[in-house]
Amino acid sequence: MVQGIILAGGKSTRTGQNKLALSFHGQSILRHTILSVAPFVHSVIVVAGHYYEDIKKDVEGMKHVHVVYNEMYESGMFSSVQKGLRCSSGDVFILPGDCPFVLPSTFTSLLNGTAPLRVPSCLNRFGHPMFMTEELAKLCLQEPPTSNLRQFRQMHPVEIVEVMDEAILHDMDTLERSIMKINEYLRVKTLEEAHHQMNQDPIGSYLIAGGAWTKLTIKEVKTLIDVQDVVKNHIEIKGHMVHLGAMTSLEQIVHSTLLDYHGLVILKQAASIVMAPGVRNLATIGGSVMGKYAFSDIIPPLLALHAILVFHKRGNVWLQDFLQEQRKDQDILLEVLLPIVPGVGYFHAMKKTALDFSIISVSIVKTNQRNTIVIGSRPSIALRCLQAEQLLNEADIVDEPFLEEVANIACSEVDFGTNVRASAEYRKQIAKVYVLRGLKEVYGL
Amino acid sequence: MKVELYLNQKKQVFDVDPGEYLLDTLRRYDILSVKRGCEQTSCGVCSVLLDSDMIPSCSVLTVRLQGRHITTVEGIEEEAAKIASYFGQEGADQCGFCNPAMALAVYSLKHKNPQATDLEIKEYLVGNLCRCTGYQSQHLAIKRYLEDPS
Repeated sequence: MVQGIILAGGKSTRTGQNKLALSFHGQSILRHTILSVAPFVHSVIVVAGHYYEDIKKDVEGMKHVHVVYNEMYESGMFSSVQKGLRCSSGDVFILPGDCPFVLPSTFTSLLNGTAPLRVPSCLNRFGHPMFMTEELAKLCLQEPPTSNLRQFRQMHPVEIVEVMDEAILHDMDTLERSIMKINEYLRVKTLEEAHHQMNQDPIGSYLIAGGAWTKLTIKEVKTLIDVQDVVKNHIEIKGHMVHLGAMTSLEQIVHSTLLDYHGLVILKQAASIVMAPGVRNLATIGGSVMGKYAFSDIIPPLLALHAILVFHKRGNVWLQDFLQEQRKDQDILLEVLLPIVPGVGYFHAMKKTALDFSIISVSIVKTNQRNTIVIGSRPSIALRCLQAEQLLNEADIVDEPFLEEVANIACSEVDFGTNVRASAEYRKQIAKVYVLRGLKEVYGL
Repeated sequence: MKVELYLNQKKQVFDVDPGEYLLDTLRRYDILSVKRGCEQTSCGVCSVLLDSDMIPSCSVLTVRLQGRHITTVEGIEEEAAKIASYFGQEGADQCGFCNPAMALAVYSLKHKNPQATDLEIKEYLVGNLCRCTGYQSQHLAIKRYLEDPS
């Protein structure tokens, strides 16, 4: 069962009147929003606040629509989200009341996703509505009402569902805004200063790395913390590890000769296909990792290379563990470490155009100790194919039919999803081809 | 907030909102060669040089650039004229909207990789879109500029 939660608790301070009551083609904006989501849900919960009575009157007579009052509407939108979740059961769509023109195909694409948390994206920007499973909704209710959806989203792997629908980007406020809203900019001189600020106000603070994807994710932030003076941006070898400072740009990675050896070369290959040199000069490895972006071409090779993340307070954490965890505490990524192990690597990403996100990516690293297979852009976050890896690691004789079997298992054990770029079925078929091609290459067959 | 930048080698103080992007700052201060295109890092018409690296100015917050060097096509006047001349000779110029950023990109390529191969030229300029020409004539013009020893 899916329900729609429509957030209508605000005071409309910008317009000075109940903007949801404004009429468009004979109906209020709020009624348009309700009608857009209605075909995809069993019922709609409208969470009202300041204009509760007006809203109740406005939606009178609409079937399967319930208006609830959020007593805490003045503490912000997140309290309305939680009120709606408390009154709902099952999976939910969450949509602001002033976002009336989302296309039916967007709701369908979100329903076809696989991750517990899904957000639509168009023109490289996140939009509305958010889809959340019942299980995740329960976690959302455990958050303090002063939290926000952005912070909640950052704690969980998000499936970015690409849609051809610009309406997801525009609520009535964003039409008025052209710049990011930042109350305070803080260029820190020490890591402690950054850490202190982040933990003093974990909800309002945002730590910026390269900033290449900031427009995609952030519209409003209380304190922007800039760590460019305290986090390194160079690549060096120490002992048996390559150390990449978290502020190292993807373009530095593309041109580094320190990554020309063994499987490490797949990181260079992956970095070289991220957009264009201009963007790669901005995008950093730290930002690519901390964003946990499902579309990332950088995370899959790092997973295949068994990357270790070095945090200011927590110390070393395996990338694989980091991608799965849901932590609330704030920390600063300092370095990404890559073990130097003799071996070979394979990377391939399939894109429609050079500047697009990948349809699928395959990263394979073979060393004397183990084999690692990672499938990225599924389109959810990259995953290792653990059963296939085990089969390879235990094999005495490796021939072509065996590798074919391994490729089939690899593509059966991970889920594929459908978005505007490709269907799940297509992704699965293509992934099989590239996994097999990669395995043959690393085994010299 | 006040931010001090070296714009085309000249020290200048800009009064900016912390959330303002470099593209908006430059255009507000009448540097109109930096064009507003997709504003999502995809089209390249807003490209400028940050120190010696090409970046999309639509996605960099001005406030983070304190003390840095920004170069627009106005700062490479002589080289830009040379590039424009090759573009003209090869018929690589139509509406001209992408030209300032394209000239900066080509100038930057010559500094970083003067012996660039055909493939390297294409890879370097992949983020500078042109909706008029189809790139073939531009490619020829760029090759001639790279081969120009002057």
